[in-house]
Amino acid sequence: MTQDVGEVDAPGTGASTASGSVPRIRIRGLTKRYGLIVANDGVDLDVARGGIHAIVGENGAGKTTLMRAIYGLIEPDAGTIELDGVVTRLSTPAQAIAHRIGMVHQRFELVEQLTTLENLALGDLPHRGPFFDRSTAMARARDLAAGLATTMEWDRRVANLSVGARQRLEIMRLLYRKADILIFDEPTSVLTPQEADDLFKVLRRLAGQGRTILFITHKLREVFALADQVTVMRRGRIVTTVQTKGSDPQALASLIVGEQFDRPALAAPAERGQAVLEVERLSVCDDLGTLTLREASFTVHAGEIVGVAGIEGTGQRELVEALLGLRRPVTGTIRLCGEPVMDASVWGRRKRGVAFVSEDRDAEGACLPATLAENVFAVERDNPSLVSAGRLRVAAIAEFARSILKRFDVRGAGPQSPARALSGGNLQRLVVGREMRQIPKLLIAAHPTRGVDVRGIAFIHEQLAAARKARAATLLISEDLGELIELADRLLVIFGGRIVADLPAADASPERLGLLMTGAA
Amino acid sequence: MVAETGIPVPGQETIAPSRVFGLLRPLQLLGPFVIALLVGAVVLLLSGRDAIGTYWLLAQQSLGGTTQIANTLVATTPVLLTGLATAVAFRSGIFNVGVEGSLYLGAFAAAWAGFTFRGLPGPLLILIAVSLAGVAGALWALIPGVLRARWRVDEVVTTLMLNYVAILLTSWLVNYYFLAPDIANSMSPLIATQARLSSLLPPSQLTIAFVAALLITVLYAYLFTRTTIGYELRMTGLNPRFARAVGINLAGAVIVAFLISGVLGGVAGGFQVLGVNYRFIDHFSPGYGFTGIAVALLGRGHPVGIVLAAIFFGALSSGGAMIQLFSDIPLDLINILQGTVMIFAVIELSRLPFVRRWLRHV
Repeated sequence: MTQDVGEVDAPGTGASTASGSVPRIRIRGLTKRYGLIVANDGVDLDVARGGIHAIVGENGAGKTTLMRAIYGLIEPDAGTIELDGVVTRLSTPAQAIAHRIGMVHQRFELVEQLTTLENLALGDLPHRGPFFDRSTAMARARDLAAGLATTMEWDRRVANLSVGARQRLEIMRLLYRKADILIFDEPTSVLTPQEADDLFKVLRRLAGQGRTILFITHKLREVFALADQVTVMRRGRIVTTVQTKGSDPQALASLIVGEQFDRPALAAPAERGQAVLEVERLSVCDDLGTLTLREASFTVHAGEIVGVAGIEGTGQRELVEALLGLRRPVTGTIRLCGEPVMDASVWGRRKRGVAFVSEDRDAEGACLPATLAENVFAVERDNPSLVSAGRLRVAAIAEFARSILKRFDVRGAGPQSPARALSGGNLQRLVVGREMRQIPKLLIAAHPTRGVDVRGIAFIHEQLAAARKARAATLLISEDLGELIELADRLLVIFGGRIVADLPAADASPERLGLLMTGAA
Repeated sequence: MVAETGIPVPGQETIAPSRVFGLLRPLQLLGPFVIALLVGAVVLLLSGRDAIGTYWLLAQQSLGGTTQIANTLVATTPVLLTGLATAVAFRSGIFNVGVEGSLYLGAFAAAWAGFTFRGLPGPLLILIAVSLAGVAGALWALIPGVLRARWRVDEVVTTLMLNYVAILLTSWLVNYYFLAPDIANSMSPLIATQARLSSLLPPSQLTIAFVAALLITVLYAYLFTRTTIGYELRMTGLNPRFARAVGINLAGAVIVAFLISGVLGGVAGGFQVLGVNYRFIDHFSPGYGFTGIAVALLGRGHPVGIVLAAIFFGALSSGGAMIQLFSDIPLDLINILQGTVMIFAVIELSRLPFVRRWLRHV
């Protein structure tokens, strides 16, 4: 490894701490195995007090495992963790919290029915006798908000809170419990650009107060915008730790993938064809009966990718479910290639050429305990070469699955292994491969690149562009505005459940979209 | 409720099992039995009895000779069938605890056919009686099935409650409309002689019903590994959201699972009438349907596991019935053993910290 990425420390020695003092966290030889997979292989890492330290790497590089070990969610098989030079055993989150370590997960752990104040105080309730001491809690809450130079409506129910505010609340909860090391797992993946900027301000302020920030990210832009130091992980090992100042993003990117990685060129846009999906005045309710999508009307043509931008939870999920047939709309019509499909089942719509890449790979896109063959077979249940008279042709199904694995380069397991055995990126390849094994008429892709590494993202983008070239109509829902602008021909922006803009992707910029998404434009 | 069935559901297991773990799997299935026997031994010792002697007697009375084994298999038959009935539902993600109800309805239907169509030849009459038993059990299971599929009514509540309805419904039928003349107890008339299943091993009541139960076990395995219906049921049980998104009709899967479960429960009751009691007896079941839940859990949904678990419970009940005759051990001990096995059956032993540490060192 002789690539020049600035001040590179030799692997194994970790980062040099700024002042040469004892690092806040020092990890030596940390190893964690899951069966035959080594998730962390002799990891050495030093994290300086009061710094912002980014961890980058592909899916399955071991970043999350390392963070979970620090937060006491998993016990390493070997190696030590030192806090301020003292070897510390952290085998439960409670112990980690006692050592002032806190973690903000990708999925927030808040009680939606309670108010922000109640959530904040949860776990360490100030009380007078058996009663909740609200005024003490409120005083502490106000102090915390002031310390972060931010605001919070302390009487609001969390269910009514924006994603950005929820994340701020999570941070304040950690501070409330006196955390001084804060771990973030891809904190910006659910935020708008503006919310991400606000988060960065908060993080810088926390670091300025002497707290130590560790964050996992896939976005190099964030590393250079925020972090003092960055550690690159690959296949369970630390590749390098460098100061961000003076490092070269391009060189860092190739360190992450381990070799020179050139993004393949995407297939050129196709001529726009006839209308495939026509949606008219579609209104959909969520599970609680709240109207989350209001009177949406739009058309997707063959050979076109239409992007949907919007803050998480403003009707995208309900739109997708209505299009696929998982949810009955309140009003409106959906036509597929000119024919109404409102009464068609999910299977009926799939038979008419609808394919679906779910945003929730683990819970909806794939069946983790089932084998890869069973995962692929799910959408070929009426294929006469795989089924005869209700009987499975087991060998043919395995062969079919093998061909999909080969064609879409799914690595790490065979047709008879459980889907659980695949890393996130490979599992997504399997799901995308299953849905794109034939060019669909309509592809609904909901956050297809969420939590996928650079190489996986390139693969998925390639597939989407190839489908467009083959005249598929694609509806792409994504939180990555850069991805939407790059891939889509046209963009729909949702705000408050309504489509507030329908513009050519060429006219869009992340800033403009951000404003539209928040109703500011 | 799926998570409590002991059959893996998504998100429950995050660590791929190692090879060592795979080899130890059979041992893991034996764990609940061993622990239950140990707990039973403590109970025996505390009450001042000889634990080893008692277990020896129990083993002798259930497995110590041809007749004893035959009696154990007779006791195995109903709980094997109710175990399969329960397992079909569990593997489809449905917590059907209403097999007892299907069993009663099936038993009544078989008895009715047996004492009504007296003129028919034996094989035909038996076929009709068993078929009617299956249909009655299925129709009974259809009630909670439709409620769940159509209106998402929780099946645990409905199936549990419908058990009492089934028991009382058959009780009313037999007491008011089909009471055998000149008998004080609440029983239906005897079924026609040619409808009785003949013994394969006199004097025991081991009949073709046991063979049929084994065949049904093979069908159960075939259903879940080799058929599209079984595949769809399994995916529905493993991950309903996935199943929905790939276009499996969840409501249909729920109905099918309830129907199969009901057929097996009904057949279990039918065989009990044709092979053991020869009539419908009010409140005849000592909880075959509920023991079936334990059998399904203990067998972890696996056909071989279900057969072994059914034999275990069969041996306990046949040996337990005899043990009272030869010693002063109360039948309650058998109940304690059964209860303990059930408790340890639902605990996943491999999840206990000390077992996990031990497994790591192996």
